[in-house]
Amino acid sequence: MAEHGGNYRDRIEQALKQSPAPYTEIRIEETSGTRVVFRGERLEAARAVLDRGGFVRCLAPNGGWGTATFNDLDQLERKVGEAFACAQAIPCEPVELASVEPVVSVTRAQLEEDFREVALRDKVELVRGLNAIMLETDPLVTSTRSIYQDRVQSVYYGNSQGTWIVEERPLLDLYAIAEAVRGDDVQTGSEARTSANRGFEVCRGQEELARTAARRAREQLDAEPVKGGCYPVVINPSLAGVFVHEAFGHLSEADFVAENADAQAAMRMGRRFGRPILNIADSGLSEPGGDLPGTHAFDDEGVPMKRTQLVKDGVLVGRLHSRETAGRLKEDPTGNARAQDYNHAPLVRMRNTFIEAGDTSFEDMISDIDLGVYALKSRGGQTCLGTFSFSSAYAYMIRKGKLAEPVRDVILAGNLFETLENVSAIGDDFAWDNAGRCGKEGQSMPVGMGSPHVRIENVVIGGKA
Amino acid sequence: MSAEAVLEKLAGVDAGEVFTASADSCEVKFTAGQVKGAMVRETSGLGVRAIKEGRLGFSGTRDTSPAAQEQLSQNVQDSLAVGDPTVISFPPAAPAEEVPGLYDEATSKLGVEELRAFGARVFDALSAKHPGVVFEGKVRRSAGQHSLANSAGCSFAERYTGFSVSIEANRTRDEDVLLDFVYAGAPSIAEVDPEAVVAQLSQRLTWAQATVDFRPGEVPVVFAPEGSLLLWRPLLQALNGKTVMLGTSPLRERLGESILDPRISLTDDGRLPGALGSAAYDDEGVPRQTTPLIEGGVLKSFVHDLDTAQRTGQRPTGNAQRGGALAQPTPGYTNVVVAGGETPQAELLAGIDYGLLVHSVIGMGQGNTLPGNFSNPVDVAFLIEKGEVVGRVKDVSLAGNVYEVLSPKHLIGLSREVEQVYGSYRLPWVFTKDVNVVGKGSS
Repeated sequence: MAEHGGNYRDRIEQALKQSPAPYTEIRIEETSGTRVVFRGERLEAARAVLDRGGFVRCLAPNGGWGTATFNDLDQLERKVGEAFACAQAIPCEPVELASVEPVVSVTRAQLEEDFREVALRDKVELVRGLNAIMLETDPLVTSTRSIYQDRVQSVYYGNSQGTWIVEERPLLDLYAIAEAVRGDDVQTGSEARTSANRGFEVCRGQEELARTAARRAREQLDAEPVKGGCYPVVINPSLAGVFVHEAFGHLSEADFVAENADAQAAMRMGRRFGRPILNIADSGLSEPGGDLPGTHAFDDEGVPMKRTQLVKDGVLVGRLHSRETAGRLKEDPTGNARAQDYNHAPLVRMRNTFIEAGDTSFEDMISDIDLGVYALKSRGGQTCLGTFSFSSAYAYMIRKGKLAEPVRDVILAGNLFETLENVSAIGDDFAWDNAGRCGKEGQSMPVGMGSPHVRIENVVIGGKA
Repeated sequence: MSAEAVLEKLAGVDAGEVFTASADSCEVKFTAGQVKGAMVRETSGLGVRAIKEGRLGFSGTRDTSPAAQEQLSQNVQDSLAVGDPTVISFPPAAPAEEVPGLYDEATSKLGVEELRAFGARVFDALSAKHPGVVFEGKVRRSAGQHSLANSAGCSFAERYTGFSVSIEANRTRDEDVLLDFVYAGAPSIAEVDPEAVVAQLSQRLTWAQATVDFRPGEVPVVFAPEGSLLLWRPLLQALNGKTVMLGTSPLRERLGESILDPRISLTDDGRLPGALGSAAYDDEGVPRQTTPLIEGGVLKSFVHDLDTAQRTGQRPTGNAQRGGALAQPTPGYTNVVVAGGETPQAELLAGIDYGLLVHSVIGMGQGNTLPGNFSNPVDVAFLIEKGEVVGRVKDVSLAGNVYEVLSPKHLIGLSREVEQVYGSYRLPWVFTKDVNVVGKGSS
């Protein structure tokens, strides 16, 4: 595809000048991506797709947000008019944006082995290899989903306060999902690797991903369902990352509290959320040890990303903002306004959310548990603010301080506030988990999660009585 | 660009197919009960499939530039070059009658002002009735067109409209958070009753004013139509031709067998008049149809696209669906209809001495659901005592297997009333007994 960047800058700045609105922002995105899918022994899809579109958002003097999104970029000027008309048509309390320094910045993708230059055939062969490993690992593994997908989203952003940003956002996903079938029983092993800002080299040497998925699927066929009840639970770094994201992270998104006084009271700064061992942060920066999905230079309002401390020594000290929520709550913007693509307005979203390392070893963490559960890896989770649920991909009983037999169907549920208070030990073995998408209001965003092992008392686990 | 024009440009292939999707929509967003934003969207894109020497290739674009149109042809060729052998051929023209009530001129023209006015009625009524509850949501209308043309002679274009309102209610009392959600949608604004939407949500908010304790155990559980999706979803997974083809569906070899209580009948109805999931054709050009999947508890059919039908030796059911122009077709559901029973809902409810009414659960679909297992904390749920709803129940989980819960051993019955939920589901209330409810102190 031809490079349009220079041209876009002129067109966007021209359109911004013509906008009658006191504040206007324009985002144009070009995305090209490929996807390869094997199901069972068969190649189900191998394709490249193209996407391009625009997003215009205005504030009218006595109105709220007026927004227009579109594919035909020749309509840019007309769409600025439509967005302004939308804003004018909804008189409401004025939106106040927290101020940020205008910035001019260009960030290009720096890929060691640029996947845009790799032939589709080579991507197919890579996935075929991983897929074959899963099918060969065990005769009961008869169905698979092996997926490779990549994309570079090139974002051109300008606003009427003088900001101009170009950012290329490369993202690559590799999934190895094995299904082991015995009679009516189907068990799944799922391993994934999501990588932002890195090239095709990430996919090399990932055979272990496929072997692990197949082995886990097979093992689960023989695991007994966990007996439902209330247990001390140790969760591994991968699952703990999902826990902090689901159970706590969503409450830290300031759009939850910005216009809700009761929610503000529940999430007041200085409130104790856990024991002094608990430290939680969300970062959009490049963190050591991870090519994290939530890392970018800027968010989708032109605010530079940073690291935001949310809980310090067990006490709430920060939250995640868009310019609007920061302006409303008179706090500093944090660079958390993220949009899935040009078709969507930015929402307050997490980036890479994590529990910081503590000082307890895994052995010490389980040694005094008489009967408990060791749960590993997430298989989905959801929060309804007060209550959350997340499912573990595999698990073991802990008996008399030792890991015992494997169990399955372990789904942990609880009340956020109680559960955080019940975090009784935090491990010294921090790890990022590079596999995550988070859904909110119909938008799916790449996010990172991380944590050490974490022990939680009194967790309700659903299951057979 | 029309589908026919793109089709003509495909060079050197044995068969070709072009699918286009375009839509425009308008939505007004409410925050804390007040209008906060308005948005218009215009999208268009196309997806091309081609067959050459028995291999299938695909590409798609939403980039309208001439350069992208050139690149599209190259991408299709690249995909063809690596594609696996295909078993499908694109279908010839097949007659299908238009389904009435899918396009409403008046709805297609609704602007920000009309949507704002509709929303204000709903949000003002809710805010007045429920001080202390914060409401947010959207009112949206859309109008669009799908078209398909293939080299076997199939060619059609279908227009549709949609109107929907979605509302989230949030009541926070320190650590006690209640989140509830309601959605109503139809092809026409005239089919969405704002009073009914208000009444539905309002009823639950009233029930939820007090939180009460629940005694865990094996108890009667009543699933409201929205909550009953917990039971239907694993079935819909297993009835999908894709899982049958892959050999993972627990129902794959049970056609003609009794799998559920004989009072249960479930149909995929792609031709239901005035329903959001209906159309004359599916996304591969196969006429949509009414397909009984379970009749009197007996497994009758799966839902298929061309590929899964061919590979399982069954007939296509007109269920091919694409998630937009950039995605390939896969079997999906149109309108899912579960037949009602004989007894009114109120009468069944009156028969419950101590039980749980489940409106929604947390994490639906998480975990290993294909074999039918579920284990979910309740989200919005209520205690039923002596046939009356007496308060909200929190911090308990439901666990079981849908094939057992929907068997004669556990099923008390289905309500006579069938309600439209989440746009394209028509479901009765499901009354069950001896379902495992787990809570603290039950280990």
